[in-house]
Amino acid sequence: MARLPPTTNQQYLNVSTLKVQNLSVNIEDKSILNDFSLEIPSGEVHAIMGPNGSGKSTLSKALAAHPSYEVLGGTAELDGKDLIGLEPDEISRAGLFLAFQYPIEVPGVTIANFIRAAIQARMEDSKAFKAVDYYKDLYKKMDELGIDRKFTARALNDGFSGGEKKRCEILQMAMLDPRFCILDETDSGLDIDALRVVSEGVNSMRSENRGFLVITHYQRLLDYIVPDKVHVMWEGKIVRSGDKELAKELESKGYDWIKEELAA
Amino acid sequence: MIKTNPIEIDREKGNFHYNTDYEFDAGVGLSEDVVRYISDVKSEDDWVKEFRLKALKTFEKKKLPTHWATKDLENIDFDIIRYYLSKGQMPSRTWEEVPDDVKKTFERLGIPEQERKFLAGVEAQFDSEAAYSRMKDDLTEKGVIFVGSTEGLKEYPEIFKKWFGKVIPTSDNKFSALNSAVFSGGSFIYVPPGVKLEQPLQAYFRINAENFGQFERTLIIADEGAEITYMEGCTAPKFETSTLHSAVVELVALKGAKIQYVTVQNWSNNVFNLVTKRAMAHEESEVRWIDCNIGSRLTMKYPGVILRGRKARGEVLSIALANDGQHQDTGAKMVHTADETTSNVIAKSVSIGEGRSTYRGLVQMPGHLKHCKNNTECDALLINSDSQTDTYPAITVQGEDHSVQHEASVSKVSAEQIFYMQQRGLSEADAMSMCVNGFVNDLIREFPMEYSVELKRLIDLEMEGSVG
Repeated sequence: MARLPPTTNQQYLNVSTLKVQNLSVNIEDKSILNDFSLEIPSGEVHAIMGPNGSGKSTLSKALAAHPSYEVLGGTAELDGKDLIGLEPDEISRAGLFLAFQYPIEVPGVTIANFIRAAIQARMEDSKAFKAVDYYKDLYKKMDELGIDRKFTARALNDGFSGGEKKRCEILQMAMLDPRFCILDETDSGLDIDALRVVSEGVNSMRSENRGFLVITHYQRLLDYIVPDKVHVMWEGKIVRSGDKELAKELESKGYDWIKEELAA
Repeated sequence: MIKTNPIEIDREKGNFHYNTDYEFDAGVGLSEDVVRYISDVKSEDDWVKEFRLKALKTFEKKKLPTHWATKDLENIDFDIIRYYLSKGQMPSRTWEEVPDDVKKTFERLGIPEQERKFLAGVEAQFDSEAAYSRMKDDLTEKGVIFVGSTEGLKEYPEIFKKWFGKVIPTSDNKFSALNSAVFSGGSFIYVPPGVKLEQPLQAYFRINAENFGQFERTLIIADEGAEITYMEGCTAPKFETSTLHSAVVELVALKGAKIQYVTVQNWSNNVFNLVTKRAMAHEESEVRWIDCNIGSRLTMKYPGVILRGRKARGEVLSIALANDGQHQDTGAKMVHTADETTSNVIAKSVSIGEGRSTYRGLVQMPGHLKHCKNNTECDALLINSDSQTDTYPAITVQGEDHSVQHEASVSKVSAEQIFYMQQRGLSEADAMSMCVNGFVNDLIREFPMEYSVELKRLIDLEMEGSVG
């Protein structure tokens, strides 16, 4: 793969590899992931597909340290730094961004203030924050994602439509410039136009120095965000890996096909 | 996230204490002699002394309102409180003349600095009396009066006596009676017809002594078409024993006048803050109470407006934060006694840890009136699973021509919200602060700018350590 020019931000001159090894996760004493391993090299986009209940969302929530998910063992290293055991905000500041399947409504907290606080939380000296530059950047990215500028003053996800919530997730992702992004069923609830806009937003962020994990139920999203690899997840494990053609095969044959193959 | 140091200093802003010698001390406990002592020290007219002694009897007769209010009131020991402490009765007009130990206190609280920046006048009360009182010269020329209550009684008895105790009678409640017996300090303000103050007048109440009771008495009269904003702030050091603050505040807005009264209450957590505040709103006047309660052990305060002139308008905007060991029992009273009067109450409370907030509302619209309106919104936010809130709205409406609207909500900051915000990089405490600030934000915007900044900071400080 041809090397892209390095970004201006020094911290991203490192590669951004996510390496999950032997991860076991329980929810309320029920084992969901058992000895799960996956490596996503810097610059690559991997997709995980699988039926409901296969553990896709558990993987994303566990990596982000959601308090309801208990990690029993294993590691999840981002550029060699183990994320397991860190607080959710430490993981975020270490560079892992999770675009939620169901973004949470936060009444009273405006989008502009929220993203600003998130950026300031990453700064050595939060007073060095430049509001003028921030708004310039924010408006540019909102325009690209087709988000009305009036949304800056709206409360985060509060009363948003499904599509608006997903665009807002991608806006936050673009503003926070993370090293590694997990998109958890970002396509759910999106119409075809919104899907295209959101995908363009993601694609514009693809780079040598950033990795993506795209979790999806349907192949449709992968027509827009073309993955380097596709994994099929089943009962907490990756049972099959391949290139983008695997997604198409899955789409035409259905998950039962995998089930039957595994049974055989 | 890097916390800047000034915030750390602010958290303990009021918690310091310099030793002070008092020239006048009424001793410990309450008796007729104590009341006479206070009156004598102030060289009051006989009618004032009689007023006080009568009030003492009323106080002794009245029971604590524990049949509807918290039993914590029974923990007030009236016999160990010191009812009057001062260095003298006449406030200085310059900070240079203020005794050093007192001046140091107010400088540390930033009062002289605020005065230079944005205030039209300041009164700074230290225990029982104002140590400093000054207003800009041009306002004096316009006939505005801004002095302490002791000075007001002495210098302007004809205006004072006319309105004193008319909005809140001595017997209104046990604590208004107590105040009427031993009151000292507070502001007396008169704004002549048509005079509109562009900058606020501010009073700062400081309790310095232990086992002390502060009983200021404020009377504000805005004559026809006059406009005034008054702000009060308060702090006390954290003593082991409890302290009592029991003020009476009476406002009179004459025809077409506007009064805005802003309180930022930040007493330390050992203070019983039992305050009676009420306004009389005449024809086409507007009275607005903006009330923010952050400190104290127990606050009981229900600012009210008696809407007695046609088209008068009353408003209460209230924010309460109750943290561990605190009970904020606040609310509003709107008594409509004239046609086409309008009232609006917006109350928001945040309960943190084991904190408890209570809203009590009273709205009265009798049947013989026409076209009165009331809107009441009370919203409570609970932060932790032990946090408490309760709401007692009492709305009595008779007749067919009125419009009344009441909304109430209780919400909780959810673990999912905090996780979501943390996933974007905010610490748990910062996420919580943002939720709380978001909850009260629309009300904080109504505060004068200088106060809203301070308030946001205070809220952030309260949220520190509330999680985890």
